Amino acid sequence: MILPSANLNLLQANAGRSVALRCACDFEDVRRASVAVREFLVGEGVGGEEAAGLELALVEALNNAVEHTDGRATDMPIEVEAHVMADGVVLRVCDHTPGFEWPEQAELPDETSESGRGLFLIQALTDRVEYFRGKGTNLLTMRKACPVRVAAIPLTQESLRSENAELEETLTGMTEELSSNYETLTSIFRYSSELASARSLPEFASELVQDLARMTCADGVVLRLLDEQSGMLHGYPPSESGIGSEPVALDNRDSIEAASASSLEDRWFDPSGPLAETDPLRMSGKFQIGVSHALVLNERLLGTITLGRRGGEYAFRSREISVMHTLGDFLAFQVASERLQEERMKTRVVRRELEIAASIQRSMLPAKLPVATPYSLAASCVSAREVGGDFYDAIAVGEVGVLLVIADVMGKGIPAALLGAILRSGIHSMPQYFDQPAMLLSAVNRVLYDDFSRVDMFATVALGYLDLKERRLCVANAGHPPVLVASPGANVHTALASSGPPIGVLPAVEFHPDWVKLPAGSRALFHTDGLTELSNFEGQMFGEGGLGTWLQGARGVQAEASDLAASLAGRLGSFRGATPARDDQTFVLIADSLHTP
Amino acid sequence: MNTNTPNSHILAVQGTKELNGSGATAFRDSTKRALAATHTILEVDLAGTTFLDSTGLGALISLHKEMCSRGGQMRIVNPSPVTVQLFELTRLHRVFEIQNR
Repeated sequence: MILPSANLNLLQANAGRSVALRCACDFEDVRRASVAVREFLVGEGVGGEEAAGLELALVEALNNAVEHTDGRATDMPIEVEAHVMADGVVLRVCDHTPGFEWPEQAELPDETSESGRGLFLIQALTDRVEYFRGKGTNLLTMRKACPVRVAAIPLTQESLRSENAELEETLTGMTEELSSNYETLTSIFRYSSELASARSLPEFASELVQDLARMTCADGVVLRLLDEQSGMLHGYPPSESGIGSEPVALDNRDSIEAASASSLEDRWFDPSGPLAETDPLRMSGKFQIGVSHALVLNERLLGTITLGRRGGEYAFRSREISVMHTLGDFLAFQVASERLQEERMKTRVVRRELEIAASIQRSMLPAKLPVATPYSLAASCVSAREVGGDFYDAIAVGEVGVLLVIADVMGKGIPAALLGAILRSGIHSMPQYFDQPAMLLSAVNRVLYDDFSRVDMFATVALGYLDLKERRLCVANAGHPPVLVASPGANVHTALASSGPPIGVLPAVEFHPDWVKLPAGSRALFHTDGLTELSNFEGQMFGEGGLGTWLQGARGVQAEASDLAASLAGRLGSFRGATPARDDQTFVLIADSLHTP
Repeated sequence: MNTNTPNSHILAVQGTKELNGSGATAFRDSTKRALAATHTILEVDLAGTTFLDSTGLGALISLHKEMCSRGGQMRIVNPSPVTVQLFELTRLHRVFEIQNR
């Protein structure tokens, strides 16, 4: 039997304080009954919001009755009573269905469940619920404390008044909604104009974080930006103390921020789904409730933003979440554009720095090697991808000799190139020692020690004084690879090794000269470790052995130094193959070109 | 129920005046029937929906699951403040993407 809507049986309407209805056991009729109850409650001075909440609780209760019906109960009506007291409302539902077990505490089902929220809603919307499951009859009582206006005014006036109150509530709600959107928008406009006035990103971010905390009533907002190289989420702006000062690894399984960052989804926490014991956020002891949001731009993770509250019952509301999303997206955009700018600047600076370093290095090399008859000289300096501090020099000493210089300043780029230039000037400033390499090294070290040690740098240097008359070479070596000499008479080359530490390591050093004869057909090679440490694709190094073998082979050939230099360059190139050179390759060759062995 | 298709990937539907025990299932079923294989986004406009109960929530979750299983998305558009409160109470605002336009 289905009762038509007009026949919602009004059993009682006691002095305007109670109503009893009877409705059929189907969805449409119970819905009509709940609407009638809400209208009754509003008419009795219950606030619109409370009445709407009770209407929903009643619908849920009645739906349950309809859902738990059986053949017999379908024909039995459901009775509904509403009582308005001075301080609240009591609702009663009496049905004749088989009923069900009412749980001690109704919990929300899994988020993907399509049913099972009714009891939870009843509990959440009322203060007290009692359910008696009887034979053929079940009685549900729901109580809710709420302010009730005294119905002293005639009904028409009263209903007008409650309508006004409802309208007012709606207006308040709309104003709140609008003002929160407005606030978000004004913030964004303000940020945009402030950004245009070249404020720094950290300042901007910290202001945005403060605004966001205020707009969402959060006790704290934690912003983290991802460092892509280390895979760590760093607190931003960086602070020495406070939440977020310790970085969190993206793969930290305990961190809700890392979880949100990895899944690119919002992650929530509250007392029913708390943070992991070892979550850095939890260890800060500050947040009980919150949500973590991943900042993403063009599918690229930039960081996370987390809202947190110390406690309280309420999770963040969707309006607050939407403010966080909007401001977060805006921030992500700013971060991304700042990073792009930085990367561009950095590339430009690095490129410019390399150009400067290369030009300093070029300026240190002599435009032309001096004549050294009866010998011929050749030199080469090939820069690696990153310019280093290698250089060579050859200075005529009257018409009787030539001072040969080869040096390798530790490090790369402009600093190495600048110290190379200082070293070269230091050598040039002491012509009195040009024919005494050991003295020259000691003097240069003494003069430049302060400059080098101040910046924690040093240089290896080999000096050779080629005596054209006596046909001999005097070598002094400060930490540099040995000068190799091959003579026609010997099967093994001679290595004139270092006799002291590099320039800039110790304040006072005595270097010792090594004298070697350079008879007809001899070759001498000054080189930097860029030659011996050159690697092939198998990772093998050319080594001093490789150089020595080449030099021995070059000994019996009639050739100018420049031919030999081309041959050495070819030999190095074929050894290296396609493997890029990591260091500068610099060498100076002396060859006797007038005599055959 | 009104459906219109502003974009071939988006199916936009308007929630009925009430999404309750007597109408939610029909709304769910008719929306599912209107979904074509090309639809990757379902927009449910709740501007005109003045009452929503747990069966209405169940219908929305069912549609959300349907979209997820297709690899698509569902959005709730313009819910009333009361509806938003209901989502918050049942924590479904964590599940649904909610937009106000």
